[in-house]
Amino acid sequence: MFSGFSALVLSVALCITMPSLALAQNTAGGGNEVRGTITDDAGPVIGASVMVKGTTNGNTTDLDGVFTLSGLKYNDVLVISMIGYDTQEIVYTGQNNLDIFLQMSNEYLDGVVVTALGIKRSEKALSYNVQQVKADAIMNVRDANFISSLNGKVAGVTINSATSAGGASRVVMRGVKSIKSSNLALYVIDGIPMYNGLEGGDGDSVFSSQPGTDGVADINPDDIESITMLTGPSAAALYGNAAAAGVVLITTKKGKAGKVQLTYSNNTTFSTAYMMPQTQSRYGNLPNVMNSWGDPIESNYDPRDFFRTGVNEMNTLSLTAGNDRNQTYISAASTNATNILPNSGYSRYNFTLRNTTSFLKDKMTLDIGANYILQNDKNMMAQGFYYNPLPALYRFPRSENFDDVRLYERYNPLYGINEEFWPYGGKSEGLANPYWIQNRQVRENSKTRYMINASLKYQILDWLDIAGRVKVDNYSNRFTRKEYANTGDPALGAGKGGYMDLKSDYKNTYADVIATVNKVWEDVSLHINFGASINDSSYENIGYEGGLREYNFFAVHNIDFNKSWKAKQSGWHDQAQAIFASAEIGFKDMLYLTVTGRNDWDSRLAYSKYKSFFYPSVGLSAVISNMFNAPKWLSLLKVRASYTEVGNPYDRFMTTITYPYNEQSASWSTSTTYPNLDLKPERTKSWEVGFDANFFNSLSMGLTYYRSNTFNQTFDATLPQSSGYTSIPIQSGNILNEGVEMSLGYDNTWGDFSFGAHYTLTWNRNEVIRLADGVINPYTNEPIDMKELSVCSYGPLDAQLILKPGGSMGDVYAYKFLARDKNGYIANDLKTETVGTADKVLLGSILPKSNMGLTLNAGWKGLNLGVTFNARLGGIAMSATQSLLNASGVSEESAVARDNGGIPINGTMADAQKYYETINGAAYYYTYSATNVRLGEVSLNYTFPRKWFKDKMGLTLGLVGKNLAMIYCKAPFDPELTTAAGSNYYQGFDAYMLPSTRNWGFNVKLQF
Amino acid sequence: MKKITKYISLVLVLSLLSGCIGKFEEYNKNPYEPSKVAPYSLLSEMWKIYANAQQNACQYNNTMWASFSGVVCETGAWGGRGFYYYSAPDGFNDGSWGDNFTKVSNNLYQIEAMTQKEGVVYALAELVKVYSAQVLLSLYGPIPYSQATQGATKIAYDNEETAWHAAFDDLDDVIAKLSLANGIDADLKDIDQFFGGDCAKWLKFANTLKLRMAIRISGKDPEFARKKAEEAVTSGVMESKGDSCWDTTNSGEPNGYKVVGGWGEVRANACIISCMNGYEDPRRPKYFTEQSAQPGGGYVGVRHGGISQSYHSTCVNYSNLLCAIDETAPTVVMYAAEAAFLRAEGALKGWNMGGTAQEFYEKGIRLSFEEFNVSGVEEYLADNTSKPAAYTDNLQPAAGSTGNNCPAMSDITIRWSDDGRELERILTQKWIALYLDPLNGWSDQRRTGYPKIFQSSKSDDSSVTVARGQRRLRFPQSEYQNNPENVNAAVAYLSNGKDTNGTDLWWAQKSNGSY
Repeated sequence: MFSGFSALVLSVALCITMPSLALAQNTAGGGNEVRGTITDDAGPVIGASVMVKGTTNGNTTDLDGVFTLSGLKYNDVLVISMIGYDTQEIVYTGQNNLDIFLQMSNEYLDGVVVTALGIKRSEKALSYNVQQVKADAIMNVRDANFISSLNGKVAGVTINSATSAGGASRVVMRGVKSIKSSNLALYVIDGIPMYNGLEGGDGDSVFSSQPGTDGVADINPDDIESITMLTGPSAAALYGNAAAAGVVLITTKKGKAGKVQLTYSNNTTFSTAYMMPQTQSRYGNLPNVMNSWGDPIESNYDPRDFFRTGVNEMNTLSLTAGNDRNQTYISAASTNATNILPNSGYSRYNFTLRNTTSFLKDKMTLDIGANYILQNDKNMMAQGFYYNPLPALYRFPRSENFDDVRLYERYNPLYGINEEFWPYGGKSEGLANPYWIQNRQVRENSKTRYMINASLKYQILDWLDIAGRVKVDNYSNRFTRKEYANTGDPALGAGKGGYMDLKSDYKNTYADVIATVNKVWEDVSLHINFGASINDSSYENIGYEGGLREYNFFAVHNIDFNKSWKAKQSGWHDQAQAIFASAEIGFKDMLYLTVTGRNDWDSRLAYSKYKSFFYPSVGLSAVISNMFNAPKWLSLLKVRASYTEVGNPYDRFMTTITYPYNEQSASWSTSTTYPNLDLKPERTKSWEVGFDANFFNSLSMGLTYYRSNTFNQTFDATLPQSSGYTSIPIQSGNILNEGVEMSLGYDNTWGDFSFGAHYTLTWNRNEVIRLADGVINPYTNEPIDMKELSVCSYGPLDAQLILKPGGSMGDVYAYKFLARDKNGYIANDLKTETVGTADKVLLGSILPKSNMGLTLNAGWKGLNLGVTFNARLGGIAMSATQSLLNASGVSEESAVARDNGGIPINGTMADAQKYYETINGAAYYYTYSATNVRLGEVSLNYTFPRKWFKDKMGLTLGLVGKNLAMIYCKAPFDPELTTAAGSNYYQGFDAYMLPSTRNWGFNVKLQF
Repeated sequence: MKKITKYISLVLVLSLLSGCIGKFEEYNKNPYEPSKVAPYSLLSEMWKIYANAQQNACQYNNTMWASFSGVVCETGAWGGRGFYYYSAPDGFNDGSWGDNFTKVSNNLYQIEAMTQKEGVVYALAELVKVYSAQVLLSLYGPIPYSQATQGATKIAYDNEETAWHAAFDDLDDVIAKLSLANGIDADLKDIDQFFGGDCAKWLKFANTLKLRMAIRISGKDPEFARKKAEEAVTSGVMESKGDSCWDTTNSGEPNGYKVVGGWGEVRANACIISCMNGYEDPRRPKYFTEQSAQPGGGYVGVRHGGISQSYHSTCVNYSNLLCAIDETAPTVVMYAAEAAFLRAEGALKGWNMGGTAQEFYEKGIRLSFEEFNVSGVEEYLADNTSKPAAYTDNLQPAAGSTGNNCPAMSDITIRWSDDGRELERILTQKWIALYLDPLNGWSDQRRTGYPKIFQSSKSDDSSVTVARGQRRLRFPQSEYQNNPENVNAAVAYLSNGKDTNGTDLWWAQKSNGSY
């Protein structure tokens, strides 16, 4: 499996990992012992560190503020430290008991943050913007996919949540950069990159199958200690190509020394459909007509009744135990979510074990973790025309009785099966009984995943350590789709049912070795990391799809192989190897210079001229407040600047010519892609400047301006089809992103009262500087003609996302408008069709101009109130739903028009039906501002005083709400939801999208 | 210690440089796509253009512009832009172009290289090339043909006459090669879903194609056409039902009409159904389903370009194509009856076709009845009173909607008569017999005015009148974007120098200009 280098990295990592297992049994020796209690104004101080100066002997205080320390010699100096307090030193003179009082510090708290590869660095040395989020931010108001809880809490990051619980979220940092490659952030868990595979369909067209969940949603949020967002490529340069779009660094919990602690938490939330299209029920349909353009009727039909209240219940039990040498963390969690659609939900069971041991006189640290995850989902739904009950639900003919369809199937004695009941037509348009879709077109995923990781760190010298890490992340997913007999139009002989069964296996092994040099002289500090890594991933997918022979018996051997069927098989194997180094030189705690470099060998480059690629970064941080005797109110002022280049390989298999397989006709054909094997990795060049400031230790501010250009983008230029080819991959392009990330924070306490306010602002401007116009085709030596590139269309709307130099990667154009007379007035006799203009007209950009978040916290004794507001400014959203519902006479808008006697055009009234049928599909009439402001989260928690329970137990109760109110929104749907997390362009578009939900619930947390 | 550090880094770097990435080439090769396939596998791929079973190809080639034939009818609304008012969007207009070129050119080049342009597999590949050319020449006009070479991306167009002649030259080469081949070709026996590798049948197919092409250009290039037609008849065209060419496996796809019909985007055309209703044609049950919108059944088609094309859901219950209800139904490529009707028309021109126009006319009808296992052909041939019926759209649910009604297409009768209307009679019966062979019907209509096909209710394209209908397809947008010099030169080859839907093709111009 591995050769040369890979074997080396692995064996180095393993060699230093394995023997340590035996050594882990070692425990501390004897000697003198001291027991102490550390307190402050408020009582015991938990987690304070007590170290013997000049050694690694130390311990931390437990929940009662108590520590013990053994192996002491006379005149040892005990150093007691805790963030936020002045450090104290006490000389050991044989005391048995110590009572220590810690004084709150007035100094600025210089945090330590986790950076690339899990390397911890002092915040002040960083030359780029890093934002750390505490677990609270995702724990207070939880989501089945914790990523969506980060929305608005970090500047520079745009997060779009999925429509279904547990669905994949879309996380984009500092704007979309790549035309064809993924623009999603990389997830890194404890320093190791995670493959974030999206299960299910791409979801990027109205005809695509429904999307599923993704890899990061599998993480149990209770296991997370903190999250660091590396929004810029500088921060991520050491991760290499996968991090070109930014990194979400997740640090998971470790066991804690001290008393055994058992925590149980329950979070239960209830979801109801929130932003639904407005529909009418006062005009009916004509007999045998699907659309409701008939006479006024009395009806109480409300599509909302179809939705149920979704329940999401999460239970977590975690245990931490350990002493100063060995700490263990164990957790088990369940997440069971039912969606607002009937027979649809998501469930997940997580089991985590982590053990940290130090031995060899604390010179070696071994950290072992294991995760086992079982995840299932059923009928996850996002949007579109297939496997979606909403088109039929919304368009249900209003004169008919919806109660008739609740019994969704009727027995047919001729075949001895139940058949769908849906007498209203429209089947050719995909309309079907909504209950049938939910119960008889069942799509299920079941995933089993395990992750095992081990890391071993050896402190060779005071100033030198070497660490090796290995992680295996494997999962297996089975997707089945069971469609019962006569799904679809019986007149068309819809058959005896259909079955799809797909099994996919993903395997990833990552290993690295990193040596760290840490030297401090009088005025100069030096921190160097260098190392090598290997990341090996493979994916296999195999399965069948086809109609059945026996009715409704779902097995591969029951597929009718005489009719149309598909054998599906695909797979790949990628490997990337890298060496990297970073050096940070500090001068007098006030000036830091950081230089990094990384060289990647990637299997996706094989057969090209470029075997590897190198990319550097350089950054400077100046702590101004340390350069002079800063006034007391200026706790920190730091300015920083950095420049980075990051490379990104093109897709696998692009450099070899093969005969593509057509699964429908089961045949191979000659590729119609013109071979271009002379490809280079994509490259992003970026710089950023910024400052961080803190006043009075309570008011903090961070501001960053960045600018990045992404070159060598690989995309398809079309060829004249008369050549027999349709396209050629070419490399050109230059996408500019510039923007500002700003965060403002205020935190203070006055006695029992505390208050905090945090504000984030993200502003990004995206511009297509160049496509490929004029680039010389290397094979034909002819200049490529590419004035624009159409990259996305939006279902039944005429809108197209077209990239043009000078425009942005979100610009949407349309060409259909109502016919106008020569004076520019809309023609009074509405032509039955819209008439296109010669040139497409820009409707706007789907990209936001800015995103903002405001989080407020207030605490009084044990009571804590948190509120988060989110806002998105700028950009457009489009609704095909509104267009289709208007045209079929079921929207409230169409009813109002009828109430008013039509649509006023040039002083006369146009017939509403004709008007809406005419503008149906014309995006111009269904484009809305995507600007919206919402009350994102509310939480109210009360932590009961421990003494109420005789200090045996801690209890916290909370009430939570999520997405409670849309304060401002002009679009008829929630424009922040994504139905296609992986798509760069299919965003801000509603085609029968599942409505957003309003969620509220409670938390219970018990600690023993 | 520094030495150790240096040593470690040295080892790391050295191990990298010493070929440890050797497996990268293995990894970066798609394990499920071969880098080599047999020539006949590629021939199978080329054969897909004979019947266009894949659903999108079926729409592009069999149901969209094909609706101009009056046999099938596109019933999608597609936002008001379709062939029904002559305003098809670029994607629909360009479909047949892309389908033909991308399935033919590259596979042909590969087969040429593998076979050294020898043998039956190569001859059949070249036959696909000619077949494809006559489709494109009948749709778009000038095409890149004789100048095409492998790897070239910008290919010059031939003017129409040059391209037709070059296609005849290639077809003569195919016929020469097939004439030398004997019996069943072993390589093709199992993979040839048309004739099981029977070279004699492929030869008849090639000669019938040659006769078809000759008739098509006969109005413009009569002497050349006569020569080619008589050569084809001498070499041997299709004679009997067993010579007909069907794609029995639909190239591995489900029958495309079934899929497209399942979307509700194709139904039977009101024109041919009204005509056959008037004739009480016994072939109707083999061609169409009965309407299911109202009790009583019967055959009611959809008028192409009727007054409202907004919602195809309203058309779902009209008569469908019979083959569109069975995904395993084979798709026709070429009927033996076509050869008889072609010879009838040739004979009418005074060409030596080996018989009289009447003989071949009646043979064509007999072959058609036989093809569909329908009895009553003698009564049918003797009928001199039945005439095509008018179209009454009695299914549209909207009250008072009579705008789709249409008078009878013609008053032509069935029984042969030397009454001066022989050409219309031949071409009307040819049109009925060549069910689901849309290009023949539309080409004959453009070439001669027959069969008379229902007009659209309006035209959204100023270059097209509803009286004459659309005359060709525009050159594809991708050519203007990526091959602009050559396509602009080709526009000058067009009869009126304009790339419009209303421009007459070279072969469809008659000297008197009426058709």
